[in-house]
Amino acid sequence: MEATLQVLNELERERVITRYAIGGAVGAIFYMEPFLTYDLDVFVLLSPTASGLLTLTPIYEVLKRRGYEEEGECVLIEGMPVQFLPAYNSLLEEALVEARETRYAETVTRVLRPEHLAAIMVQTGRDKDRQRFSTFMEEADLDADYLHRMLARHQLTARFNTWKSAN
Amino acid sequence: MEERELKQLLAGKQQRRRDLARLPIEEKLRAVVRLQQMAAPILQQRGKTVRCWDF
Repeated sequence: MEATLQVLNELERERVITRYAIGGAVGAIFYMEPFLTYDLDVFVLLSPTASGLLTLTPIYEVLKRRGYEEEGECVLIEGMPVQFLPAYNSLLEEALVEARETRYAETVTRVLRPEHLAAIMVQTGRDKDRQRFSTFMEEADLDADYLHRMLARHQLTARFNTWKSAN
Repeated sequence: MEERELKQLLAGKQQRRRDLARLPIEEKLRAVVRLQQMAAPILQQRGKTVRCWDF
């Protein structure tokens, strides 16, 4: 894991990506009990190409040159399948900008705030998000004011309340 | 089993989950790898390809 994060930090230093933060299941595990997952989801703000396009291709190309192979929707980096997900809407962009800097062993990394992880589960709305949401809300320490302001900004309050009251 | 005993059991279980949530992230991810190793044979039998982390 630490070696994987060091590669992500290098990609950011070399401006292959503008900014990254851990999200998805591993992001949630930073704040709740561990559970089964096989992928490391990494949200990225991309650097535009010369033609102005935002694409994941430059990341895959740089990683391939370093010997990291694609495996399905992931790239296998130092023993971990990493899935890169571009910040494709305003909630994800905000989540990336406001992600928290933390440490894994000796390596500095970034993880989405728990309030954003909860909002992303609600917005994505898959069955597995709903199952995870209920335990996440019990175990993670969330800033209620921050959460409710952010949910309102992204028109997620009603859906959040429906999910919360179903717990 | 008495209701009181059942409540105690459930409370203990909930406390255990809260304690797990407060472990250092390094320890939590080592637990994830153990879960992956336990689940992999079952998932593979169902035809799902999975890769346990190697770090």
